[in-house]
Order: sequence, then structure tokens, then C-alpha cells
Amino acid sequence: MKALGEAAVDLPWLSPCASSLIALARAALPSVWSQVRTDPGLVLLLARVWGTRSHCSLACDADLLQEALTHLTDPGFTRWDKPGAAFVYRTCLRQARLATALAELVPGCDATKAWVGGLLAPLGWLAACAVDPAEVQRALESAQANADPSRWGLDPSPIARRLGTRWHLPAWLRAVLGHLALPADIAETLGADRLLFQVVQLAVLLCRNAAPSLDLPVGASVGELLTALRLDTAQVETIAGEIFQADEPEKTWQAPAEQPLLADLLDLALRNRRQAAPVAEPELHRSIDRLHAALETQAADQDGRLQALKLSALAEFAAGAGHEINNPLAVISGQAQYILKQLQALDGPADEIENAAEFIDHVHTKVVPSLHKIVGQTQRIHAILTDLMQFARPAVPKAQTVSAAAVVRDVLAAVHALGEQRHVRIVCPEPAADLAFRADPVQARTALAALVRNAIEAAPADGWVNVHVERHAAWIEFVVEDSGPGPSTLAREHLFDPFYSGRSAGRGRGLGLPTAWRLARHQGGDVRFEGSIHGLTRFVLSLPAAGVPDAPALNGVHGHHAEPNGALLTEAHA
Amino acid sequence: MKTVFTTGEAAKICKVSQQTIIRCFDNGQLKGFRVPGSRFRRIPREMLYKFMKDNGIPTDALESGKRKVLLVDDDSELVEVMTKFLEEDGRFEVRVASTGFDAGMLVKEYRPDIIVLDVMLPDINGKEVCQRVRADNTLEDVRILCISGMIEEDKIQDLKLSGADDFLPKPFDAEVLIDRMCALLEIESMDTTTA
Repeated sequence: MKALGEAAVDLPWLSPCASSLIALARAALPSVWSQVRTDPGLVLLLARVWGTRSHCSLACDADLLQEALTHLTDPGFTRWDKPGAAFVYRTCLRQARLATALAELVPGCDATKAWVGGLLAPLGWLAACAVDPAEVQRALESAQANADPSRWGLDPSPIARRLGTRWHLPAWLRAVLGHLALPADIAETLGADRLLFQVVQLAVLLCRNAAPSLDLPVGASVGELLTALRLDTAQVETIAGEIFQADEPEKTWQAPAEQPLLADLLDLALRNRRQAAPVAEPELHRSIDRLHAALETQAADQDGRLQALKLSALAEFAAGAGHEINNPLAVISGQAQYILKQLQALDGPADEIENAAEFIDHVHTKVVPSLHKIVGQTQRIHAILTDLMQFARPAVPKAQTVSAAAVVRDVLAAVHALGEQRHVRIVCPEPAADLAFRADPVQARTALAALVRNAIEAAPADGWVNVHVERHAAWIEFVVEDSGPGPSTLAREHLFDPFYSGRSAGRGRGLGLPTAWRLARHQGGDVRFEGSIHGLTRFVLSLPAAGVPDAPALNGVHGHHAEPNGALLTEAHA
Repeated sequence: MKTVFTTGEAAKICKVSQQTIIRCFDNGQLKGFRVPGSRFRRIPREMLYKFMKDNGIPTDALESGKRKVLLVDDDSELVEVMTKFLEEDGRFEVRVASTGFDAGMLVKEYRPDIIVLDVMLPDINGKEVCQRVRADNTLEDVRILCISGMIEEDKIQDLKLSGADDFLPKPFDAEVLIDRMCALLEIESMDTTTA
């Protein structure tokens, strides 16, 4: 007799329950999904259909029926209420419910896929149940609640990996089935959908912490996952508590073989659905026409809304720009008034000015400095407008391969004085020599300098700023962290809006972050805010990675020296 | 320039107790009047001056009579030109703070008559500075004149609700600034008090 593990790997399928297949024959999958999704066999069948498609959705009835018909007489049915199987099944259901609930809190994470991932994560155990539930029960009762490889031949995880490949399950699901023990970064290179992967990891961990479970190994901690997914601990605890307390509805498990007419029913349903397609076509055309009509009306509305949006953005911008420019204007106006006052003091008949030297001296001491101040302030306004232009319409980027280390050196040299003035320590490990990206070097440097400057200004006195460079597949990422409190929740929405006037305090032209963002986008890159945690605020500038650098340093003057350990350190208040 | 004093103010200027001033007022040594409809005593400037001369009290405290201004703005160039105007005017003694935090410290120590306050400070918002000053009842006589390049009407309303007495948008006319300050400090306008 084959060892349990090997037999599990050879399973042709996990057979759905007869009632699930009947439901599927009666109505389309989306309308019966809530009823059949608790059947591991049916969910697995859906995953196999997804594996043959580029898009995972519930709209795949005919293929699903076809797949069910193909395997209908194959072995692989399990009664999930039997000892052994019942424990595995309960864990799967809890994981699925929890993963779905978590996915709903994580933007960009598909709740249906999360259900499938959570339910099928212990696929090795599910398959083992289909082969020998009594043996599973024995393994569960043993002290470690772990499969005994010498008896099974294979552990549940390798069983799951082999079945995932043999049944052509989609890559994101295979990552969940066999690689939960890996960190998300590595799983991603194996095809994992990062958010979904982490959601399932978290669901598995929470189940394991709350009740006896299957001890699936997970390559992250609850804390790390909550942070990575930006979930609120208390909220997650409430949701998990509700799910663990909910009773599972009773379900009767009936093998397809016990329903002699099932094959005919499925066959009929399949033919009906295939025939229904052409009949539905005119109806489909009519709905498309209706959609087009609706779209046109909406487009007309959209014009009006766009106009209103433009005006409101312009008002916000004008208020912000006004605020920035009114300050230098106040100085100009003040100095000009002062000059006028001085000249009025000199008013009178020319012959009253007895001493020409005194007159010239008066002009020199009272008037000339004011005139210089006025010139200085016009330059200040000019600089604001130049920055603004750079944001609104940056020059066409002259892309070349640039060494990350060179850009970091240039930026550190440029911000050194500011760090010193504000007593902020700037720490920057020397980036690896082979890290290079493809962008306009001047614009990339401006973007990074704006981020670092922003960090220095945000850090408290005697705080620090940390800059380091990472490579992520096709991207070079400049990570800029500071020890400041981070922007307020309200300000976060407007981080990249020029002159955001909702700021309640703070100086600066309000153009640093927007310019960094604009220039990064201009190179095909991005700037993102990665949140404030544990007294650390992080912004990331990503630029497209390149091979070997062909551009030398941007300018030769660097006020830095490499530390013996290879770290570039600018001591602001040494 | 302040033209009428309360007995408390007169006591401070003469460096004697308020009781002494009241006694002198009541026995006719120090001339003055009572606010119509009440018993509050008021002493005109010239009467106080005569009283001080008669009794050999140094009059420089009265003659200086400069009003204390706390100028709060982080734009050093603007502070410079405003200080120039205020000091050359002759009626003001000026001290400067460039952050909301410094302003909070200085208000207590310097006890200004008026704060000229920029709303957008590097650390805390001017509105908060207003609220903090207003929350301290030992500072209730301090006038607050806000200045800002911010021009939204609702925000100005907000400032006034937080305790600002007046608001002046940047850029402003220096004479208007001084006139508004005088109005808040109940100093008579330039033309009548100085030649």
C-alpha cells in the first residue's frame, strides 16, 4: 500500500459535495457562491478553472460544469463531518472567513480570492483527509499535532505544493498553499500576490493563536503583518473574536456517486448554458447600448464636474500661492514705504539741504539698504515662481544610467548645511556601487534632495534622518526616514498638493514634496509616503533600475568622506 | 499715548502702593475724577505728572510711557522692516519672537501691551497662540493683532473667535498697522498727541 502522502499527491481531484454541484447546475455561480463556497471540493474546482484563465472571477460556469463532469466518477470525496476531517475543515473555514474579513479592510485585496486562499491554505491536510481521515485523526491526536513523515511519506506542505503544480492552480494560490513559511518578499518572486499572501498569513496565524489549529508554518509575525497591511489591531481582534465565536451551520455531505442522475443534470445544465450564450447576445447588445447612452450622459455631467473641480483646485492653489508670495510682498511694500518716509523727511526747499555730504550719507544709511532688501525679495518671489514652473511643467527628462551612490553623494552635499543648521544628523550607508537607475540625473537629484530636505525640516532638533537605497526587482528605491512625528491624517491626503494651505503651521514654499513626486513620475518612477510608525516617518522614491552606470558623479565637489566601514556620515553637530 | 490712568496704573508708575494713591486721591493731593455712574477713580496724565513733580517722584517712568509690543513672525526680513517703523515712531518698545513657542515664553516674561502675531508660524499655529494667551486670565489685557498672507475670510473669522482682536492682511501699509495698534491700545492718533 502506498504511503498516505504519495496517495494524496496522486489524487485526481477533491470531489465537491453532490448538493454543491446541484446548486451549480440550477443557477450561475455568482448567485449560489455564498451557498457553495464552504465546499472545499467545489472551491478547488474553481481554482483549477482559474488556473487556465488570465482573470480570476466567479463568471466561469460552463468551464466549471465541464471540469466537474470530467472528474465526476473519480475518487476523492470526503465527508467533512467525520473525525479528523471535521477538525481540518473547521480550521479551513475559519481561515477563509477571517481572510475574507481582513481582505475587505485592505484596499486592493480581492475578498473572493482571500476566501479561496484561506480555505485551501491547508491543501495538504485536505488531500490527506480525502485519502485516509482516520490516519489524519491519529496524526492530530499525537502530541505535536503534526504529520509523521515516516508514516505519511510526505508532509502536508510538500503535498500541497505538488498538488498545486499538478492541478495547474494559479500562481498566487500556489504561493499561499506551499510557501506561507516564506517572507512576503520571496513569495512575491514565486508569483504571490503580496497583499493576499499576507492576508492569508495573518488569518492562519490568528486562527493558530486563538484555538488548536493545523500549525501551518508562517514566515511573519502578527505584528509585522498588521503593520504591513496597515490594519488596526483592535479592529482585527474584534473581527477575529466574532468569527471564532460564530457556529458553523450543519451541512450534510453527500458523494456525487450517491446521486445517479447528477451526471445527466450537469450535462443538461452545461448544454443549456452553452446554448444560452447566443440567445443572450441580442440582450447583451441592448445592455451595451444602454451602457453607452448612460456613459454619454455621464460624460456630459463629467465636464461640468471637471470644471468645478478645476476651479476648486485653482482656488486652493491661489490661496496657497498668495500666502507664500504675500510675505515677500509685505517686505517689499514695507521697505518702499520706509524709503518714501525718508524722502519726505528731506522734503523742502533745495537750499535747506545745507550739507551735501550729510544728504548723501542719509541716503546711504537709510535708503540704500532698503533698496537692497527689495531686490532680495523680488528674487525670493522669482525663486517661488521658478519652483512652481518646475512642478507644473518639468523639462523633458534626459534619461541616462546613473549610479545611485553618486546621486546620494550629491544630495548629501547639497543638504549638509541645512542639517547642520537644524541640528539634525543625517545617516546614510554608502549605496552598493552596482546600484544604478535610468533617469534624468538632475531631476532625480532634485527629487531626492526635496525628500531629504523635507525630512530634515520634519525632524525635531537633535533628531535624525536616514537615507538608504534598496533594489526591488525592476526598481531602485531611495528610502528616506526621519525621526519626526509625521504628517497629520488630514495633511496626508494633500502631501503632494503644491502650496497645500490646509497646513496649520510650518514654513517653506510647500513645493518640496509635490516637486519630488512630479519629477519622479516624470521619470516613470514614483514617490510614496509609507506611513509613520514608532516615531519614524518614511518616504520612498522609486526609479526604474538600470544595469551598469555609464554616467560619472554629477558634480565633483563633495563635502563628505567615506567612513572606514563604508558609511557616508555627515555629522551635523559634531 | 495713554492719557488717563487707573489708581493701580498710577501706583505702578509712582512705585507706591495702590492704597497710597487712593488715599492721596481721596484727600485731594492727587486730582482726578470718578467715572460717571460709578465710584472708579481716574487720573488724567497731567494731574499725575504734577503730583509726581510735587512729591519729588522721578517722572521718567511716566515720560517714557512706551507701549510694549511683542512682534511674532518667522520672516526675519519682515520683522526687520516692521521693527524699524515701530521704533522710529517712538511710542513703542519692541521685542521679537520667531516661533509660537518663543512667543508663549516671552508673553509671560515681557508682559506686552500688544502682540502683533503672524498666523503661519513654523511650529504652532497663530490661532493656538491666541487661544493660549486667552486661556491665561493674567494676560486678559493683552491685545492681539494678527497679520497673515492668508486671505480666506472664514479663517479670519476663526482667528477672531480664538481671541484675536483685529486682523491685517499682508502686505500692509505701515501707517495702517500703527493706526490699528493705536486703536487697540486706545492711544490717540498721531496728529493730536505729537507735533
